[in-house]
Formats: sequence, structure tokens, C-alpha cells
Amino acid sequence: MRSDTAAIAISSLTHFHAARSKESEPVNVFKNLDLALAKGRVLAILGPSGCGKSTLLRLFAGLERPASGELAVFGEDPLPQTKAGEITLLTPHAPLLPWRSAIANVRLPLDLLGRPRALAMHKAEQLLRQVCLQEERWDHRPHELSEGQLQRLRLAQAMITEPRLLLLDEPFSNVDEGLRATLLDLVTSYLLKDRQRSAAFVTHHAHEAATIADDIIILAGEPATIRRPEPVAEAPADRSSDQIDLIAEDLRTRLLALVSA
Amino acid sequence: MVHDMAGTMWLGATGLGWALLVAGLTLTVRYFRGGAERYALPPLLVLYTLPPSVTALTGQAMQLGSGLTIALVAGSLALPLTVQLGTAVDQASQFTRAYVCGSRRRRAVTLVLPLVAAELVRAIGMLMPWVVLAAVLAEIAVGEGSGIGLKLSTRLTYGYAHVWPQVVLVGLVAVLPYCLLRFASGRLLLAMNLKRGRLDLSVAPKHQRFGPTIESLYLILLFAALWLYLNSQSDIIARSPRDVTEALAHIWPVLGASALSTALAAGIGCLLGCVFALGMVLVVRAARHAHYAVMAVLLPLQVLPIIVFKPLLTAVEQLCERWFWSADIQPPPGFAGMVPATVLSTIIGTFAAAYVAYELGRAELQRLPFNKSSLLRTFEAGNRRVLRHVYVPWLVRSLPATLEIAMPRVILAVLVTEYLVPGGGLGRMLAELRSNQDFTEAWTTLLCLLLVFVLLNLLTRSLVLLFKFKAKAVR
Repeated sequence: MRSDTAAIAISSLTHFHAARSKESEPVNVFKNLDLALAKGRVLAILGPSGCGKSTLLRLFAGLERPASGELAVFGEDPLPQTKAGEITLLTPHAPLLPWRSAIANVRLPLDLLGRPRALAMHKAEQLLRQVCLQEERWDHRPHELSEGQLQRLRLAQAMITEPRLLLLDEPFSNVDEGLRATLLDLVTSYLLKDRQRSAAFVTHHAHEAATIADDIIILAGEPATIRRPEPVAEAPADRSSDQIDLIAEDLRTRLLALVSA
Repeated sequence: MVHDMAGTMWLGATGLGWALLVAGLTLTVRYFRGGAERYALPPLLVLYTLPPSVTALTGQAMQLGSGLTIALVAGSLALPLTVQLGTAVDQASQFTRAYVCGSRRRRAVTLVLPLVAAELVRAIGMLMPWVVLAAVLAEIAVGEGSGIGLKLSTRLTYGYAHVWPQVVLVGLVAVLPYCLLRFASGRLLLAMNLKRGRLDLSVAPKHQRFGPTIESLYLILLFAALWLYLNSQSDIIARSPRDVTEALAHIWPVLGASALSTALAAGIGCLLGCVFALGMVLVVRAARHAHYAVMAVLLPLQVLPIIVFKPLLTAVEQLCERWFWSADIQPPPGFAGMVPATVLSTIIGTFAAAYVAYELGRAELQRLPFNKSSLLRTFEAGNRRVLRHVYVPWLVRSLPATLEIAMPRVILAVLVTEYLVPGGGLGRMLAELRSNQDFTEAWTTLLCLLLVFVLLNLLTRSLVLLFKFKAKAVR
């Protein structure tokens, strides 16, 4: 039963941000939003700043509750799944524990879940190699690492519990172009390995979305509504570079039109 | 003498242990059931504010026996410990918000406990002078025990020269662990790669519109319940409200003037102290080494019991009297003989507030986002302009919150000074009524004192609301 359900299913979702002061009113972020993401697929969310992309990810993780409408992840309430490490959310400035080393920070979710230390260490080492963090930096504290290295730690930390749904909020910000391609490959291979994992990621880069996403949506307006570009028939792994460029160009044109509108 | 000091230290350590237990329980409740701690904080605030000589009256009525001195020490330490450790819990909330996986207990152990442990070393270090002071004062208030406090008060009757060795020992015993633990906590925080912890209002109840009023009512109800309970336990408590009314009619003229004197001294002392200390923070900002000079003045006032400053206070009092006499100023009718005591209370209250305000002010400047000043520097703004546009507005913004946290300490200082220096005020009145065994009148005065405290607390809390200051918004 559970295996047949969609990874993410939203219907008639309405959400408000709490009022900042007594004088102001709650901000209506989404109104009657409908969305479905099939299991094993990757969703890219684009849109202008402040349209509610990160809020949508927090709703997927169960960290915020919608005012009305239905939201289910794998057919269930997302929060218990987030607490069990089955859903992980990577945010660009997630705090790392300053008293722990890089490797200890990566294995932190497994420590919190009470998994054996040896297993956690083994997985953390594997992931640190995959995110290209040099071995001599594994014992460094967060303040001794650059922002790009910290972002790689956060990515490794988000993947260590092997979540069924990976939520990534601008995962490749603060990293250089070369590393961006490497990390993009890592995330793509992780997600496409057995097509059992799903992901939703927020990005401002049309090319990133065109490279790894099966489904792409653009959020815009107040309250935000979903605009869907032309669906792409090919799976991300089968897309040629020309196709990716075409999709990216189409997305850029749509985003520019939205901004100018 | 060393044996006596050991007795006092043992009392202080036992009291500290109980205070830690109370703080731990309060913060555990806060972590697992957020908001429930607001019922624990107001009574802790009262215990922190009232001097042991006053709380001892209620303690004796409760027939606590030998546990009374320990309860007095624990009562005066529980609030500062809760506030200090609450800072660490508050700091840890950024991690507990970010990492939601795993059980709440496991997250508390992994994410919160390391921060609390580091802060604990720092908190005990900072409180060490208060531990010694609280133990000495509790011994004096109860009049029992084998510690140095009782010896100090007994030997004072032979003159001040006889107590200096004890005073020096008390000072050393209080200051040495303070320095050692501050050093150790500094190293620990450095090793854990944490920024230095700081005093703030993180565990103070959140500022809601009717919050202060509701808390005041809760405090009065709690006190009424305690009265009802003690009524059947002891005969040193006023039996009924009628007894209180009769006593009030009897002592009203003196009580009214005393309450006014105490409230005025506390209010003026708090305001002056805060303004003085925040000014000193700016001076220290300009000349860093001035910090040691400021602490050299402020720290002894925290370390040593005010009783040892009595000769100084008496000298100031005489100077004041002489000045009034030479200036040919007549105090207003009904205030005769009270003005010098008020002035003295204000001076002591000012320093007590200054210490708190100074520490808070320094913490506020540490929180100041550096880009604000560096942005101005890129426009070639000089020191004076940065001071005017960045530092002064930042500190003025924190003034209401500083007043709020300094007020209890000021009331304590004022009451103790009034007790020590001949004159007026509720502290003096209470001491006299207790020594004359006029327990109903003493109980009535205690009720009046609670009212003064509630009103002053309400005033400062409302001031915070008026300025719309929120401790968390600063970060």
C-alpha cells in the first residue's frame, strides 16, 4: 500500500506566515496549491526570491503546518518521518556544532538516532570522500573551514541517514563552478542509483534544474501559484547536453518574464 | 578562623547544590514543557530580592530548623543560576531547531548538555562571591551555625579592628575560586570553540501585554497561600487579615514613609547605576584596560558583605548630615532623619545596579553586529560618529531590560543598607520590629515590602514593554 503512494501529495494547500507585528496581518503564502511528485522522481522548484520556495520545503518536512488542505509524504504525516531521518532537509546556513569536528558533525544525525558509532563513522568517512573534503580536514572544527567546505559537510550530513526524501534548499550555493559539477554528479548518482529515493530542491540556477530534475515547477505571485513549464519526456540521465541547454533557456525566459511582470 | 571559614564554605556549597537542583529542574521543565517555567521564576525572584534577614522570618515560621540557613543560601542563588544556565539552553535552541531527528532526550544530551556544562563552570565561577556572601548573611540572619558569619557579627560588637582578619579571609576565599573558575571556564569555552556565554534575559518570561500583571497577581496569591499554610504552623505570623489591618492602623505613618523611602532609593539607585555603568561600558570600549579599574571598584561590592562597609557608610552618613546642616536644608516634614539613610541606600543601590548593568552592557556590545560599525568606517566615520550612531543607540535600547534585571539586586542592597545604617526604610523597620518581637507588625511590614517589590517590578517590566524591547530580537 505504502509503496504505491506518491512521494509528495498536496491538495488545496493554503498557508500563512504569522504576522510580524500587531499592526500587520498574516501573509498568505500559498492558496489552494495542488502538487504531486511520484516516488523516485526529483522535483526542482524555481522562482523569484521571497515567493515561498523554502517554506514549501519546510512544509514537505513537516516543520511547518499548513493552514488548510492536505499534505502527505509517502501517504503519511511528514514530521514523524523527519524525526526518524527518513526525510532530511538541507538549508544553506544550517548550524554545525562548533565543538564537534567535521566528521563528528557529519555523523551527528546517526548519533541522534542512536545508531552504532562504528557504522556512523564508516558512513561519514565514505560521504566525506564523496563530497571531496580532504582527509586532513576531517578533524577540523567548523570555524576552521571555508563556507564552501561547510556546505559540503551539510550535504554529507543530509545524506548520511539515507533518506527516502531529500529536501535541498540551494544546496550548491557558496561552492565554485568545478565543485558544483562534482556535487551535482554526487547528488544525481545518489538519487538515480535505484530510483527509490525522491528529492525536492530549491535552486536559482535553471541549468541545475534542467540537469537533475524530472519535474520542474516555478513558484510566483502573492499568494504563490505553480507555473509548469513544458514537460520533458526524457529522464535526466537520458538528456543530451543540447536538450539540457534548451530546457534551461526556456526556464530562464520564463523566470525573466515573471520578474519583469 | 580557618575552621570557621570551612564551615561557611560547606554551608555555601550545600546551598549551591540545592540551588543547582532547583535550576536544573526549572530548566528541564522549560525544555520539555516550554512556558511552564514562568510559574517557578517569580518566587525565585522574590527569594533573590529579599535579604536573608527578611526571608528568615518566613523560614522561622515554617520551622525549617537547621535547614533554614541552607534554604536561605539556595534561595538567593537559584535565580542567577537559572538565568545563567538558561542562557546556554537558549543558545542551544539554534541547534535543537535545526536537528529534529532522534528522541528529545537524546537531542538534549547531544545538543544542549555540552553547552550547559560549559556554562555551568562559568556560572559557578561568577557566583562564587555570592555563594560566600549568601552563606555569611544567612548565618548572621539565623543566628546559628559554626561558620565565620556568626563570628563576624559577634566580634563586630568589639569594634571594626577585630574583624579585619576575617574580612580579608572572606574576600580571599570568595575571590580566588572566582578567578580560578573564570580562567577555567574561559579555557573550556575556548577548547569547545564556543563564544563566551553572557548574562541575558533569555529565561525571563516572554514579554506579553498582561504578563507582568498576571505574574504579580500570581505572586500575591502564592504569598496568600503561604500565609494560610503558615497560620496554623506558627504564632509569629499574623493570624488574620484583621490583625494586619489593626497593625497597619498602628504603624501606618512610619510604614508609609519607610516604604516610600525604600522605593525611592531603589528606583533612583537603579536608574543612576544603569546610566553610570552603561557610560562606563563606553569608556571601556574606548580604553580596554579601564575594565580592570572598573571591576576593581565594582567587584568588592559584590564579594564582601555590606556589613564590612559599615564604617564607610557611617562616615558618609555623617558627612551628609554635616552638609545638610551647613547648607541649612530642612528635610520635609515626616522625613526627619531619613534623608542620609536614603542617600546611602541610593549610593549602595547604585553600585549594585552598576555591576549588573556593566556586565549586561558589555554583553550587549558583544552582540552588536560588527558590520554596522565597519560599514560606517568605510565612510570614514571617526570614533565619535561611530559612538553616536552605533554604540550609544545600541546601549540605550538595552537600558529598560537592564533596569529590569538590576532592580531586584538594588532592592536587596537598599534593604541591607537600611538595616545597617541608622535611619528609615523598610529594612530598618523590619529589623527593629523583629528584635522587639512585634511579629504581627513585622509580618505587616513584610506584606508592605512585597507590595513595594511587586510595584517596582511591574514598573520596570512595563517600561520594557513600553520600549518594545525583546531580548531575542537583539541577536
